[in-house]
Amino acid sequence: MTTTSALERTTWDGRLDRWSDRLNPIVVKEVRQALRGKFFQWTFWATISLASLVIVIQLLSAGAGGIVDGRKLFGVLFGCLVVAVHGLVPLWAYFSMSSEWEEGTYDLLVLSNLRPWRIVTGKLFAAGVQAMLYYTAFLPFLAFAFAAGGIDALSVAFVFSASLVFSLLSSVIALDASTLARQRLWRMILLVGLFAILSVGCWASGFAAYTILTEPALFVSSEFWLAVGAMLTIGLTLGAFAACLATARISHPEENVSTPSRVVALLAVLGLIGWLAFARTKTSTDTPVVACILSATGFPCLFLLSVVWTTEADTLSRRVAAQVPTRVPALLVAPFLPGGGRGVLFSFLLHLLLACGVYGSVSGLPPASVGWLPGPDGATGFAFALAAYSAIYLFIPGAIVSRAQYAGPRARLVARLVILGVLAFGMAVPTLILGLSGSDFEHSFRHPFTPVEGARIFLEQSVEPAQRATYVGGLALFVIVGLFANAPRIVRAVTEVREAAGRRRAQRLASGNTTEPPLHAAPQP
Amino acid sequence: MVSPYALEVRGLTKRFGSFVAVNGVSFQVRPGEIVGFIGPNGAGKTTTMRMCATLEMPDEGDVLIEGRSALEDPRAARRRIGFMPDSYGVYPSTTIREYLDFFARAYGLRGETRGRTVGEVIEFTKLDGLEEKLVSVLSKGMKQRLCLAKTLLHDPSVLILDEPAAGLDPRGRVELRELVKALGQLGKAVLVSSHILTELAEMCTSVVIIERGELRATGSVDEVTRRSRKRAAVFVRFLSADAPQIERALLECPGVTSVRPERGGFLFDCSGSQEELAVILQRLVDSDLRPVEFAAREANLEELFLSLTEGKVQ
Repeated sequence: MTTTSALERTTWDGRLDRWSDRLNPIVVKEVRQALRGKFFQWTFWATISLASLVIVIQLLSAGAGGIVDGRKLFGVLFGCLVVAVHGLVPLWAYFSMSSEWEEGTYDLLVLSNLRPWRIVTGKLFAAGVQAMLYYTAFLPFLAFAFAAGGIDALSVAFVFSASLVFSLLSSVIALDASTLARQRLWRMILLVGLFAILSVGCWASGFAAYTILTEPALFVSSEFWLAVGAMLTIGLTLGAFAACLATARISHPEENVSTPSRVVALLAVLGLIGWLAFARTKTSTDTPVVACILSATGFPCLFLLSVVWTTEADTLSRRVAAQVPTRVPALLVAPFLPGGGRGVLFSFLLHLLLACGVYGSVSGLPPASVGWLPGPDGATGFAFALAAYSAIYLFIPGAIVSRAQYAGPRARLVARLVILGVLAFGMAVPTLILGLSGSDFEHSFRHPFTPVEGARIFLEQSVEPAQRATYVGGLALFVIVGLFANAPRIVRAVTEVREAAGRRRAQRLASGNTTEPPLHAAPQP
Repeated sequence: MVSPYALEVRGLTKRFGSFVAVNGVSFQVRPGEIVGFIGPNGAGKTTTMRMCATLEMPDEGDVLIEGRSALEDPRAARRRIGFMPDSYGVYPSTTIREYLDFFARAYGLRGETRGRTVGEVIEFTKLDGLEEKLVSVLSKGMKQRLCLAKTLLHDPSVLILDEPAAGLDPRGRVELRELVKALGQLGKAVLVSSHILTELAEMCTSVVIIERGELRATGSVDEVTRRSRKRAAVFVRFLSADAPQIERALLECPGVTSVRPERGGFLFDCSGSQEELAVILQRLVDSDLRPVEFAAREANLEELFLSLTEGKVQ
C-alpha cells in the first residue's frame, strides 16, 4: 500500500514537474513570493474582511422582512473587489519589479536565459494569478448578492471580463512605470504618480461597472459595443506599448528594442483602419466624425512614438547587424529595424498609411447631413493635414539635430526635447504674438504653424477652395523639404541594412551553411 | 579557429560622461586559470567585470568568450558566463532549494536534469542539509555560497567573481578559497577580484593589476614581479644593536639607496645583481656589526600591488 502510493506520488510529482517546466519560471517564483509576502497576505485578508463586513451590515440593515437589495450589495462588493484587483494587484506588480533592483537580483535575472519579454510577461501573469485569487475569494460573496436578485448574468459576466482586462492593463502600466527609474527616490516619486493614476482608474472602473450593472439595456445598443470595441483596442494598444517599453528598458543595449514597438504601432494603425471600416458598415453618416476623432488621437500618438524612433542611434548595433534577415529585400526590412534614419522612413510610411486609411474609409460616402459636421472631404483633408504637420515637425528639426544622436543616450534625450520644443515653440510663440497684438482668443490660434489652423481650414465649410489649395501646397512643400533634409540619413540607413545582409550572406556561404542561421540558439540543458 | 582563451578582453573603454572609468584594458584568461583582478577602490574593477559579464556596454573594445564576441551575441555569452556581483541579491522569502530551482529553470534546465544539477551545486557549495531553510535567515557566508551555487547552475566556462570574499569571516574565506581552487581544477576560467590580497595570492595563478582605469600589469605573479622589480629588497639582521651605525654602514654599501628597520632587522634596496649582493655581504661580514641573517626577499602580492600602484583614485 505504502509502496503503491509512494510510486503514484512519484509519478504524479514527475508529471507535475514536467508540466511546470512549460511554465514561465517568473510566474512560479512571483506567485510563491506573493503568497508568502506580507503585502498580499495583509491586503487579501483585509479586503475579504471588508467584504464580510459589508454582507453582515447588509443583513443587519435588511430589517425584519429580510429583503436584501442584491444590486446594491453586488455594487458595493464589486467596489471592494475593484480596489483589490485594479489597485492593489497593479501596485504589487510595481513593487515586484522594483524589488529586483532593491534586492539586487536584477542583474542575476537578466543574466539568465530568460528573455526580457519573459520577465515582463511572467510578472504580468503573476499579477493575473493574484487577480484570479481575489475573484475566487470574492465569488461566494458575489454569489450571495446575485442570489438576492436584481442583476442579470450577462452584466455580471461582462463586468468580470472587463475588470480582468483592466486589471492586467493597470498591471502592465505599473510594470512599465517600475522600469523607468533605478534610484529609490525616483521610484518613490513614480509610486506616488502611479498611486494617483490607479486611484482614478479604480474610481472610473467602479463607476463604469455600476453603470453597466444598473443599465442592462446598454447591451442591446450598437453604440455601446462600438465604444467597448474602441476602448478594448486602445487598452490593448496601450498595454502592448507599455510591455514593449518595459521590455526595452531591461534589454541589453545591443539588442533590438525598437522593432517590437514599430510592429505594435503598425498593428495599431491597421487596427484603427479596420475599426474605421467596421464603423462605416454600422453607421455610414457618422464615419467621417469617427475618422476625425481617430485622426485627432492617432496622429499625436504617432508623432510622440516617431520622436523616439527618429532619434535612435543611426548605426545598427553589432547584435542587430548580425541578425538582419537575408531573404527579404533591405528596403522592406529597413523601416522595422532600429536607427534614426530608418525611423524617419518608418514614421513617414506609417503617417501615410493612416492618412490613406482614413481616406479609404470615408471615400464615396455622402456629404454630412448636418452642416457643421465634417463630411468625407473634410475628414480626409483633416487627416492629411495632421499627418503633414506631424511629419514637418518631426523631419525638419529631426534632420538638424540628427548629428547629435551618435553621442549617447543624453544626446538622444536632448534631440527629443529639441523636437518637442520646436513643436511647442511653433505653436505657442505666434499664438502669443497674435494674442499680444490684440487678436481675440480664437483668432490668436489662426496661424499656419499650428495644426489647429490646419484642422480649421479643412473642417470649416466657409473656407475658400483656393485658400485650401494654397494650404495643401504649402504643407506638401514643407513635407518634401523635411524628407529631402533626411534623405541622406534614409539612404545611409537602407544601405547599412543591405550591407549587413550582404555580409551575413557571405558568411553563410563561407561556412557552407545555406540555411538561415537561427536568431536565438536553443537554451543549453 | 578555436581561441585558446576562455575570456579575452580587448581594449575595453568605458566613459561616464567625460570621466573615463576604464581605458583600453586588455587581458586574457585561459581555461583552468584563476586570475586575480586587483586595483584600489575606484580603479574600474567592477565596471570592467560588469562589461565582461555583458551587464555594461563598453564604449570601445570587445569581450570575447571562447572566441565569440559578447557584444555581437550577448545571449550566447551569458550562457557561458557565471557572474557573481559584489552586491548579490537573494529572494528572502524563498528557500535555498526554491531559489536554486528558480534560477535553474531560468537557465533552461528541465526535468530531472534540473533536479540533479540543483543537488550537485548544493553539494559542491556545501549547502546540503540547509535546502529547506529560508534565504532570509542565512548568514552572510551561506548567502555567498548560495550565490556561488546559483552562478554554477548552468555550468559556465567563465566565472567572474566580484569581491566574493568581502565581509566573510576567516573560515568563510578559507572555504571560499577552496571552492574557487576546485573550480579552477575543473577547468573553469576564473576572474576574481578582492581586496584581501593574501587570499588572492593563495588561489590565483595570474594577476591583472588596474589603477585609474588603466592596466598596470598582467601575467603570473612571478612574471609580474620579475618585470616590475627594478630593485631588490634584502633583509638583514645583526647581533649589534646600534641602529644608526647599521643604517650608515648599509647606506655606504654600493647600490644601496634606502634602509628601513623591519622585524628586528633592516630592509634595504639595491639593484639586486648577484655581484652587488656579494660585495655588500662581504662588507657587512668584514664590519663589526656581526650579521646573522642576510636574505633577498621575494616580493609578495601585497608589495607587488603597492609597488605598481600609486594609490590614487579617480
